[in-house]
This record gives sequence, C-alpha cells and structure tokens, in this order.
Amino acid sequence: MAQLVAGFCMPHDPLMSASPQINQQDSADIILAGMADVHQRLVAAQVDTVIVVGDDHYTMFGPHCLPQYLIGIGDLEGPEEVWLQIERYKFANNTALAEHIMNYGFDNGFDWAVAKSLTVDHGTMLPIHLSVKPRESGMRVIPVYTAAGVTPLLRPRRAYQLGEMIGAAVQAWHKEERVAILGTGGISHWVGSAQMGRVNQEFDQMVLGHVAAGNAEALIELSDEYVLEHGGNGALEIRNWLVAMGAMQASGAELLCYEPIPEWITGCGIAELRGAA
Amino acid sequence: MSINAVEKVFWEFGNDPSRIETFRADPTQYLARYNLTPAETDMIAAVDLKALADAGVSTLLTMMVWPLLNGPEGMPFVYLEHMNGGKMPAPPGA
Repeated sequence: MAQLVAGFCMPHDPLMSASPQINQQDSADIILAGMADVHQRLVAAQVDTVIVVGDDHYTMFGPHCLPQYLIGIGDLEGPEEVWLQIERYKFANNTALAEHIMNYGFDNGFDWAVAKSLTVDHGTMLPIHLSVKPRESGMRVIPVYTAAGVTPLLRPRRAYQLGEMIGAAVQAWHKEERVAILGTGGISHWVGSAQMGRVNQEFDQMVLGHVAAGNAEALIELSDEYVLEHGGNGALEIRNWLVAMGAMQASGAELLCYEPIPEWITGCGIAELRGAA
Repeated sequence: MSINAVEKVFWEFGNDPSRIETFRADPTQYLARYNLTPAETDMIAAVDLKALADAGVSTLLTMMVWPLLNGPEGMPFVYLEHMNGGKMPAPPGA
C-alpha cells in the first residue's frame, strides 16, 4: 500500500530562478538553500512520487476555462514562461497513481478537471525544478492546480477537503510507493497591484504559526477580504498549503526558514508538515 | 463594466502576442470584436491599466500585458509607477 511520507509548505516565487542575484542576497540564499533542503529531505524519505500543488497565474488557463482544481495525468513539461531562466524540459508523471487519484476523486465527490498533457507554469515548476529535481532524482511528479490566483477562487475549506481526498486516495493505492506532497505559493505578496513589493511579516508569521500548530481551521477561517488586505492577492495561495495540510492530516510542522524579501516581492517560508498525531 | 471581456482581450494578448500588432494598427477596430463598453475600449486603447485594475481586472493580466504593450524596458518599476498614479511608492519600511 502506498504511503504519504512527507509534506511541505513552500514558495513558488518565480524570481527565485528569474532573479537569483539580488541586493538582499543573504535572504535569497537562505530560501534557495531551503528549497535544496526540501530536496534532501525528499531523498532521505526515499520518495518515489511528488504531488505538487500550485495555481495558475493566467498563464496556462484562460477566461474560456478556469478549473477549480485540476490534476495532470499525462505528459508533463515546463516551464510555460520563457523569462524564468529555466530551459523547458520534460519530466515523468506517475500516470497510474495520477489516474487512481483522479478516479478516487470522481468516486468521492471531487469532479476534477483533467489535463492529459500539461506545460506547467512557475506555480509548480519552481518547486519541481529546485526541490524535486526530477531529472537527477528520478522522482515522478503529479501536478495539481487549484484556483488560488485567478477568480473565481477555490473555497479554502474545499481546498482542505481536496487534500484529505488526495491523502485517502494515496493510502488506497495498492502499490508500494512512497509519496510526498508540496503545497506551494504565498506567503504575503501583492502581484501586479500598486502595492507590489510590500511584504507583511506579521501576516506571514501568523500563517506560519498556524501551520506550525497544525491549525488548518484558523487558515480556513481567514476571509479572502482579510487575506487581500493583509497578505495581498498572492497570499490567497495558502489554499495550496491547505491542500497539503489536508492530505497529511497535519498535526503541526517544523519551520525550516522564513525570509521577507521585497526584491522578490514575497515573504518566503518553508515548513515540513508532520502527519497525524 | 464587462471585466470578463477585458480579461479576454488581455489574455489573448499574452497567449498570442502577434495580436498586438493588429491592435496597434487600429485599436478601435481591433477591440470592436469584443463585448466592451466605450469606456473600456478607451482605457484599453490608452493602456490605462490602473483604471482597469481599479475596476476589477486581474492584476495578473495587467502586469502581463504592460511589457507586451509598452516594451519590457524599466519593468517592473515603470509599471509600478503607473499603478500608483505616476508616483513610485516608498520602499518597504521607509
């Protein structure tokens, strides 16, 4: 039987690759080392497959089709954006497990949107490139996209429930596989608005505190209006963290690093989730 | 305000930047194919992204199309200045 052996909350800031050299280099280096640390932890946990949860930024999906949550079950490549300074490459999906999670969802009240092939944007590509490193690790990837960046937004409680379903689906998989999940994005950042460059450390620490305490309910209860005011539109991505917390049934987390980086327009935090107590 | 139609215009710019040449040649004619109000047509033609963002257009899209419509020079600072009404905001913590 498959096991969900590791889970992380982490950034997918595109400037980690597009602009790795900044004035605030010490902070950038701490976060980039944190992304590498996640890779080492995945290797140490002997992970076969990583479910990477991110969100579109109007780069992949358009006004004609905006899925609430989508799973990629086939061929994968990325990134979509040329300006990330990452040459596009292909990486392997665990298609059998992806299809199982898709079908498990269909049978349990989650009508996935499905991508039979997918060119992913930075919303999953940065964690894949910096922490999964599929070309050298051999780990396979299952991408999950939530509506956390483009309206209409996935409701936070539904994001947590989606994670619970994914966790149950992994446990119901008959093969001996070791699976991890990465919830990516956030924390505070204002994307494209007049406040772009602002970082709210107080908000970020509040979010990280709830993650560390395993208090998903507190994050679910944050209204979008509150998040937009105090964390910016980019902080709506804590939905992706809730997916990971739900999948892990997280009872808490170890904070690995946090740095407020205005040059990267983001408060960047990384935490490793602990499973159910 | 037909935000959805504005977002369609912008998303199509990002998805197929060759459309921008057609747009530049005759903005009014190009935009006539979309379900836009005259005010929206004027704002898009004038690249008044701040006004459109204030009206609810996704800032993911306004930030995406700024360099496509105005060139990448000075990004993100010129864009940020535009979004702040022509004045750069004070640096964080200042």
